[in-house]
Amino acid sequence: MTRIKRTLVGVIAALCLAVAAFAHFPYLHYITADGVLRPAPEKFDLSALVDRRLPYVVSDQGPVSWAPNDSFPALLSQIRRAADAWNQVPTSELRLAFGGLYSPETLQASPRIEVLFDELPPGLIAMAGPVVRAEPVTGPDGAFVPIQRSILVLPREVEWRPSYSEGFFLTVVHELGHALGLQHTLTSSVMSTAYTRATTSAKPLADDDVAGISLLYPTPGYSSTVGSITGRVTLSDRGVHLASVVALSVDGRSVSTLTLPDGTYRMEGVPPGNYYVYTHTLPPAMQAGFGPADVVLPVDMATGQPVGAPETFEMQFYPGSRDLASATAVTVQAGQRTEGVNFAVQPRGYLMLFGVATYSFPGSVAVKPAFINPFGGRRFLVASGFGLAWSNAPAPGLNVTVMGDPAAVSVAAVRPYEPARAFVQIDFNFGETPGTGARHLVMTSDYDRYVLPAGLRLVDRQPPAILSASAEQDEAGAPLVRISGSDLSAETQILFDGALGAVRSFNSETGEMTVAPPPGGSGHVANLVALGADGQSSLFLTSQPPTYVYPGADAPIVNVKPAALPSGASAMVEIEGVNTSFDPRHARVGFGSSDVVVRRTWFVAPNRILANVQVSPAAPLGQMPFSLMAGLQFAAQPYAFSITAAEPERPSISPDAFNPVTNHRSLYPGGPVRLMVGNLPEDIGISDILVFLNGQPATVVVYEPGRVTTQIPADASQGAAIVEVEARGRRSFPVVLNIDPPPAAILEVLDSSGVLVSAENRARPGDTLRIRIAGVDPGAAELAPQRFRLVVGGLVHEASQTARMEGEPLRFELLFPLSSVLPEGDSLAATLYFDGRPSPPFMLPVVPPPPPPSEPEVPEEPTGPGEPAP
Amino acid sequence: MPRLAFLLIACAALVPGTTLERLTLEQMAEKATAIVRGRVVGSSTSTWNSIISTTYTVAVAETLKGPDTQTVQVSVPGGVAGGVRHSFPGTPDLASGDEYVFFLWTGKSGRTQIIGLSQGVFQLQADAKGSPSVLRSASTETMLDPATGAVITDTPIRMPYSELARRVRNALEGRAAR
Repeated sequence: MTRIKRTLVGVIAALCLAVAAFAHFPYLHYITADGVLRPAPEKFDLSALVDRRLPYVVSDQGPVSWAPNDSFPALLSQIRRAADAWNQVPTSELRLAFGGLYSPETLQASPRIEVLFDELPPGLIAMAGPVVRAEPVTGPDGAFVPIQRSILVLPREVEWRPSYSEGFFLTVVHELGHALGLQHTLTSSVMSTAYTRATTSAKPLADDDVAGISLLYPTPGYSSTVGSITGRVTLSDRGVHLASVVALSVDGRSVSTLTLPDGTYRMEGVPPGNYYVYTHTLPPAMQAGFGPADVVLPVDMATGQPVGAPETFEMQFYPGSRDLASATAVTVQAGQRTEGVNFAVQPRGYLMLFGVATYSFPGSVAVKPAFINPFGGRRFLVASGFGLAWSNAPAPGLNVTVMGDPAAVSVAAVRPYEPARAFVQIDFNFGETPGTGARHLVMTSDYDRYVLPAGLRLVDRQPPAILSASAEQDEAGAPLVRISGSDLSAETQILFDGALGAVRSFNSETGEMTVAPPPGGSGHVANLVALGADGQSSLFLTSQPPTYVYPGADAPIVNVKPAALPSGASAMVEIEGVNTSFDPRHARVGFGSSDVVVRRTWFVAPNRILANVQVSPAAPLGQMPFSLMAGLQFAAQPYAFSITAAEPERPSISPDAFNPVTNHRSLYPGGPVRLMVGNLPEDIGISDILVFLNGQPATVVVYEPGRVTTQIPADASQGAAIVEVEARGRRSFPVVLNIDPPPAAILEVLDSSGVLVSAENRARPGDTLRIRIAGVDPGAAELAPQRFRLVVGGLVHEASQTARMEGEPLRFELLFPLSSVLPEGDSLAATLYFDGRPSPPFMLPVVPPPPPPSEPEVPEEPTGPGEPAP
Repeated sequence: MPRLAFLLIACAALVPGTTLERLTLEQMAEKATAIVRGRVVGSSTSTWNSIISTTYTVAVAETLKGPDTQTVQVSVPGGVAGGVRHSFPGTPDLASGDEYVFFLWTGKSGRTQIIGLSQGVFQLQADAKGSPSVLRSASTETMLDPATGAVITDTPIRMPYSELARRVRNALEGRAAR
């Protein structure tokens, strides 16, 4: 085992067979330190990823059979939409990037997710998870096991589950979660197994998913926006391992975690609010080889053995209550830890109520999760689960309550569902204002208790429906689709397979909308799905969506230049298309390898894209396909690109150029730019270096080893600018820099009285600064205050007002209320930001804070007669 | 029976979001291309579609479904190749020399796999009386105690091999086993 232990050991987990689920919990290893098992999760190492972007590559050996109107471009668009679902978590720093199609022969070295298609036997829908890992390392958030490679396996025959179906899309979102390091949860989130999952295509992620991914890959400051709950679960004073602890809010949120071997838990990523917290046993494993609830048990790295075997105990609400009515909510505040939420649980033999799923009937098709419209739909749902129904009747003593205000929503009756008495029907009463959103269901029987987070979702309208879709054109001849339907709104999104159309207009009287379709291939048949803002979709009403057929057009052809780059190169590539109209909203390029990362693209013409790419120094040599996906239009060139041997003597420009004055990446005409250049000889001097900007020589202002500072011409156009460096006859590959509009030019800084701030008239904490600027958005009537920030001594100030200066249409005055407490000093560094672009910093004279009051003198004790004076 | 049809139709088009397909014994019998009782006599590993798989050679003692054959090659994800191990929780751990009942599915590629991974494997052991019985490691069904009607725990149970074979035959003949 020694050699194997030294090599990369891979485990694929989370086969999507399991009924039961798992808290937001990564694949975990326990590292023994100081005699204590400390958890180390599996996750990708963000520091090893270019721009914190994790490539996902899709096998070019796609499915072999399709449902009617389904296709490979459609399937790709759904995979991309599923990846975007995780990318839209603002508190996660990791971003999934489409890496193109890959061939089985392509060797790849860099971290990635591979999506491939395989012949899966009945009973296995999909599988995904980490495959290859490195040895544990310690990062800023603690020890972790770096994932090197994850795979996601989808079936090769998808005719029974078309790519436009909710099932397919949510499966991919779920499996991508596994590939990123998330295990199953029990909170009806997307990482719950399909049986209890309560998210939809319109809203694929729930709070527990957001917490899970954010805790694995947190953005700076994430922990200050959420709180945590800590405590311990004990049974007979012993810690209970792998007890599930769940926090539920009345407004439908749920976050969870599992306990460690000593019974302690730390539930992080909890949005501020009030929560009822309960603990429960994980349901039994449904598959051999899994832990309870089909979780992959944590592994003790010292022994290589799984650590598990939790005990079965009675569900308990905090503090120590079996009933929700007797439970007490705990308050969670941002950046704070709510401690001491402990549970002393009682043993029980086995679970008799678990794994419940709920369904509703917005139309003639049952849908899950259960959406109910109290004002126009059927006011009941149907439930199934282990122990819910006995002998074709509800389990003895079965009672269901809805967490929240009973006057708004309450259960009217629990009875057999007559068409199929193995199911239980739950009827509801609704008040005049039942509200909308998720509601948790608490179920009790004579033998057990169970909570189904988000078991019910209240809405105030029926699902959107598309009744017709007709092709039109706008004034410019661009294609439009006129859609008529029911329960559409201005917030309704229209999907063309997995790509969003752009809503051009919505008529609230007729319910009609016009939508610009995303790019699509000639004759492509796109399935139209309407997504409601409330999480419902038109697929709730029909599994046969209407279609839009793209007009005939010549097939797109794309070429990439250069066709080869050496390993380790940082360079611009140019992508030219024939029969293309590249749209930055939709187009993505990929080189079919995680070793070639596209860092940024510029769409300079409908048929021309410039892109900065980074080739990994560890990239294996060889050929790979190049592919471009734009909406539903797909173009690929096999063997179109090659990685060649490294060129260590060729100068290499990093695209991470910055303005040395502002220390910011925003570059502007007339401003300086510092280029980071590698592979320069040690003995080189400033006179040996030439810089070219858009083919024209640029003056080298400063040279330090590895750093070349030059000036951007004042007449430089905004947008892409191509830079090259030549040293002693060796020229670098070109790299694209982005030239931004100039920053705001600060004309003068006044106090609230309109007097110039100076050493003689210092700015006062709490006063309002009046900053007059020029050079921004000429012609704009007003500038929104939100576009401006003023940082003084590190403190961020928001503009309260902006106004055009009277008589001077190109000048504006901004008002910034200063903080009443400023850092110490009589002159503080200040920077004005406009749309995130900094102006050159300046020193702001401020009134220094008063010195702290001195300690009052304590009078001496008078001495009595006969005592000597001190 | 409009409401029954309502739900049956609903089940057929049911459940946006399902990634799981839980199969009963009868469903596995229907979907299997072969059902055999046999002993594992050998194994080898290979890489299939970027995934390391182990192929077990099973000496067939009895065929309940499918063509009669002396041996069958069963592919299971997981194994060690080139110093790299892929392991898949939920895949059966087949020991050489042990006897099992396999519900197998052969796809168009010709590769034979186990239905639902562990769902389609039953270990064959002798009971206290020496009669063959199968160990069912997991159940997808709610089980009731016939005496009390109470739900009994979802723990592994033993089933006489003859009972399993009978249920398989009934399923294949289109009759409900229970």
